[in-house]
Amino acid sequence: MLDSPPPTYHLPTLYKQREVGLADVLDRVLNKGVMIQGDAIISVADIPLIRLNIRLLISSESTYQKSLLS
Amino acid sequence: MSICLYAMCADNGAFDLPVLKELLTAHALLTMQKEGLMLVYLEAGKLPNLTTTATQYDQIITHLSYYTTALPVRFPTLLQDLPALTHWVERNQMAIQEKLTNLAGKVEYTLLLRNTQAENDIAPLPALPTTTVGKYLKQKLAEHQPIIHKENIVNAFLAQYFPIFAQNSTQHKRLAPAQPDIIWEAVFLIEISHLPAFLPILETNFDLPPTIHLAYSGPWVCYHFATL
Amino acid sequence: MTSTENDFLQNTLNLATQYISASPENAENGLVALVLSLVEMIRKLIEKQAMRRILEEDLPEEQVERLGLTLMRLEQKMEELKRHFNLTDKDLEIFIGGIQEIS
Repeated sequence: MLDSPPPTYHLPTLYKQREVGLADVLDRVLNKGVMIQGDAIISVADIPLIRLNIRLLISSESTYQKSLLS
Repeated sequence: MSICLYAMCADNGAFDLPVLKELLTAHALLTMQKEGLMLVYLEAGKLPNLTTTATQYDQIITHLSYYTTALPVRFPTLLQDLPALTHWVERNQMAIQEKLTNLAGKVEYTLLLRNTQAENDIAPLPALPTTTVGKYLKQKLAEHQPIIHKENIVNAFLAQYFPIFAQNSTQHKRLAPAQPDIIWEAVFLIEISHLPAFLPILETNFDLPPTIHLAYSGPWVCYHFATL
Repeated sequence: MTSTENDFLQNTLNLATQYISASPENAENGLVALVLSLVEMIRKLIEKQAMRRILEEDLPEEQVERLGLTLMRLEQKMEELKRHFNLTDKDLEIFIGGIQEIS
């Protein structure tokens, strides 16, 4: 059992965190990433939100701090 | 019991770490080892509010990516049951492994050029005759001119700076701008070890018109490059 | 635009009209919309190129007039075809997007 990450792991402190809009996050999460095809799937992103332009939906005031979960 | 697949990760021992065990427990996430992969999933009955879960998804997968290579999955991806998932993984095992190898130690950054004001500094239209054709052309030119003007800005910018971006990244994709004030957008796949070379470039004083600015966001998990 | 491009477009439009008129079943299965959307895409590309030339090159007035006349005629011809087959821009854009996406 490992007590600490091996040296090849990149730790959060190396990252420069940028504030991003909620729309940017949702656009990635809901529209990108691996798409699984096949009859095992019940529904993939089967929500009306996907079909709309997410950036128009989300106001620019909703910022989202990309930070570590604590 | 239907399940929601969160990620497919390299099985490198990271999931033995207390920090990841805590992360998974906190979000009721389960794992399954399969063919050198670690599948991270949720029992679907536990999916709460979509927007909250979607934003949490990015946080979770980012956190996972600090310790292993995590392949994000379109959210939410619901499967009939665990056997259905493992069956699918078996069939696509090689492609998944290959993608994990390609994305190991890499992040993505989005770069874009944003126009912050309506242009009022475009050159006037050339003189045109007042014939029918002249009037037709005047209308057409007025329609096209702002677009051509923006294209020229983007092309000049790319001609000068794109080679430097390309040099310091593994791959890139140009994106269709989602908003009218964005005149160029692209996502770059960058090795973490190359970030100290890539990031300072973004602070350059680019030779852009006063209303055009470069903006960027990152690092992101490699969402745009996660296709099998 | 060069006379080659102009001829190409005129010929394509004429051929398209003949082809579609000759086989009524083609009109029914959406082939008309597909063909016309391709032609429309080319027309828009040529139009865009012509605009660039007028804006960026110092063309003599007579050449500008000729360019404009050709463009106008092409657009009118396209409108005739759309009316004839009862197609809107929206119908054509199913295949190919609006002008913003044509670079």
